[in-house]
Amino acid sequence: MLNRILNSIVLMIAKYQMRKYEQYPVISTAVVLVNVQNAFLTSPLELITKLENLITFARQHGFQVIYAPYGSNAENPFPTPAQLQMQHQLTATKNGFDVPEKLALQDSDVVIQSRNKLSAFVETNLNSHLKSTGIEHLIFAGPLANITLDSSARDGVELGYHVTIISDCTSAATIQEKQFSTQVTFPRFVQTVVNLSDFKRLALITKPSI
Amino acid sequence: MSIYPESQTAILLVDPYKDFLSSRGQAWPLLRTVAKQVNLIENLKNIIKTGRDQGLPIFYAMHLKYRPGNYDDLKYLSPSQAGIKFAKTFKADSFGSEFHPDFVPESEDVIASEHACTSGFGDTDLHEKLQEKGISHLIIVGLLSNTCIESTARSAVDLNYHVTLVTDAVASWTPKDHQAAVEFSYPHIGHIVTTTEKLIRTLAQESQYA
Repeated sequence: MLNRILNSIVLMIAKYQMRKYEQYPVISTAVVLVNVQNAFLTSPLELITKLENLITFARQHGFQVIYAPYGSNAENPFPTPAQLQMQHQLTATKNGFDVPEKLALQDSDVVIQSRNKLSAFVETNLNSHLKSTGIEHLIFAGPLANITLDSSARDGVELGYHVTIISDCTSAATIQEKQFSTQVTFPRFVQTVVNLSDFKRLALITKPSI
Repeated sequence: MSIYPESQTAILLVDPYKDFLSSRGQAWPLLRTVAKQVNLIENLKNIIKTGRDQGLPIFYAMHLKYRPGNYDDLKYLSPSQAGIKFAKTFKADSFGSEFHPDFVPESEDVIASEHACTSGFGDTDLHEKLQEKGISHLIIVGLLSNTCIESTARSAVDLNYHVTLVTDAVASWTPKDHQAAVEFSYPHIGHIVTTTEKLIRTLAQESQYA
């Protein structure tokens, strides 16, 4: 009981302090789509619709849209269960590596190097690309909440970015896994966890001058 | 076949500070529920003792001690950094930033430089020090289940280490935080997820046949 109360207070203090970061200037915000590929989006279709909604909004608003694909021929000396599973999905799904048609890239979008690591920052040009284009706010979305999205978001925080995860633009193998990620663990290490409609609202009220 | 190759396996103990583990420690009231539930301190003691008996090197990844101005050059603090700054957790030259008496490093142990975010590998010399000793297999234990331990494990995987996680040799703020890690993350990102009892048995057996 005491444990619960103390922990709620600490979480509230942290959350209050994170509020001031929740501004999304067009020139310094990028949407990073981790593992948005057919192999990882075979179900549920609802997620594709949500991602489509996010991507359309981002492009219209002028945010950079970045695709961070998974899959490479490089050897992993010790592949984890997650990596074996992802490799299996890539080979077992028709056009598994490709981006779903509904979420197809446009000319203004950026694709970073493909990898076989959990984090989209490892052995890719993601960080150098973000630094060179002056990005400070990262909006993460993608299918594998507790696998690659988690690792990528952790590294984003580690590297000094303001990281936002869109809670309804992700999924996991089970509903429970998704809930534990978005409701319990993400709020511990990223600054902002919001749903898509709240994110849009925050983006639209950000002063354009920053 | 041996799981843990001789002289390539190390125990990595994360954040055994008094502020976390001592009954007078600042964060103990928040942690004690899970720590007691899993019997954390006894299990950590047993793992370290077994490690020493078997000649496994012990590495320490310690969180950045609080000093005024520590986080001033960071534009975006993470929730835990904001919490530490607010509460002055692990304050330098004070009770809270001392090693818990049961986990004081011995002369042959290796202490990596302090990490400022959640991964023991983030901007520290941990990887370099492990490489110097030729370590490929890590048994990662300590605090907290879903923040520093999980971040360190995820980094270790992406740096090509073989990672063992021990579900009752870690603890976190609430039972849900702990469950999020041990039930919904570790089985995907760890190569071996085990308990203290099983780990100790495995290590003892391996030395018997070595």
